[in-house]
Amino acid sequence: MGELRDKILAKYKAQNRINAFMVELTHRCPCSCIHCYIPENVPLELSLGEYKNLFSQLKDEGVFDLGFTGGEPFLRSDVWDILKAASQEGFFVTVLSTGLLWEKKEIVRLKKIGVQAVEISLLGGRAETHDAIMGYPGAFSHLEKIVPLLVKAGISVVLKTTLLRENYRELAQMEDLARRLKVEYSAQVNVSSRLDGSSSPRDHALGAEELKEIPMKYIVGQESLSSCHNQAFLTCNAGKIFGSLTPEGDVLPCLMFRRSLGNVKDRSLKDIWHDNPDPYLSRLRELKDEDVEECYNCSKKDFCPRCPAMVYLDTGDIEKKSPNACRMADTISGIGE
Amino acid sequence: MIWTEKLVIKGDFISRDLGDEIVLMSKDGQEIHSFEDSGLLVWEQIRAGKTPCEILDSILDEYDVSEDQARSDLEVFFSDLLEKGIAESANG
Repeated sequence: MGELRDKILAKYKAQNRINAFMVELTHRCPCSCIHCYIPENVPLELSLGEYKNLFSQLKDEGVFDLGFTGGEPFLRSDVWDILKAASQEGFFVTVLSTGLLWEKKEIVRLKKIGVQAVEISLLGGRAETHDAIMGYPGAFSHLEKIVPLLVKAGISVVLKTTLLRENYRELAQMEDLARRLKVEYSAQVNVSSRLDGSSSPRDHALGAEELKEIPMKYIVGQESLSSCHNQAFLTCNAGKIFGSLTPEGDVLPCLMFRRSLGNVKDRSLKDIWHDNPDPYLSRLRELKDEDVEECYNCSKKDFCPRCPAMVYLDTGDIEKKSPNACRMADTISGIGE
Repeated sequence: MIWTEKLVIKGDFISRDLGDEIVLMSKDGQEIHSFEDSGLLVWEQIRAGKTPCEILDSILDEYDVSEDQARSDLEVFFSDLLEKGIAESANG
């Protein structure tokens, strides 16, 4: 099956056909995570009807995986109708949520609607840490309560951690918690600047000494055709087989690549993605590793967690090097010497 | 194999039409299949509600193949669909 899957993904890639799409339903959130990339001003949000129109277009495009994120998606009063519409179009529906608005009744409803997977942030191995980072007292105990209910309902769960100065020492506890709850666990070290340009989230990013304590698997991605960021390459699948949408309807190359390629209220997805792509999108698709000259010949390339989207957010130019990634590569390449 | 009995596609798979290929993925993400060329033609005929007999006629119209060979290939194809749980007999 792996061979066929790779063959099909290669075909998607050759045609710049979207395979996976992530929808930001809202920027509203009950939490105030210290490292959040979303600023406080809340944009307008697409209507249910506009989403239904989009889902039909995504199905025609060939999208299999459809994810919903926020903010907290469940702050939208019409979120259940949106999820139901997505499920009825036949997508693998994944929801990224704090889970804070779910009790047993909502979890049963998630399963009934056809949500297949949920991803929930875990930001500490202890309640004090998790709750403090999220700015939401009681969040940890709620997570411990709802995850078993999700598992029991047959919904796949991934607990995801952004490793920060404030929580990296609790990594083993977080891994243990995931094991205990019998769910998948993933962690990563990249912290993005805020969308309004503020670098304040970076104040919480791991420093050189702290990075040395993190297992490489959480710093360096696994090589896979379907992964968005591949450590082995300087380019990625954003704008090719991955796409994303802001709450107000702007199409992006990926969730973190905040370059609007057009708005679905004004143009069809096909026009935005295929027929009349933004020149920047065309450039992104044509970009080869060797075009990223500053990085291509770097001796530390193999240790670099460079993410083109974050480079764009930090510098406005995907062909530049990423000061943050350079700092990490310097540290990681020195480990074991 | 009853050649007058329609097959219907089960709802356990998500399908995507890539133009020259149909990709099917099981809803649990564990299985993936694809049909191209004659397989794509047969798939579209099943979706259109044609019986195996009618599908055989379409194959004979479209391809330069003997009836025995086409019948044998179709039997393998249909058995595969049934075994993998992608389709079932319309009569259950």
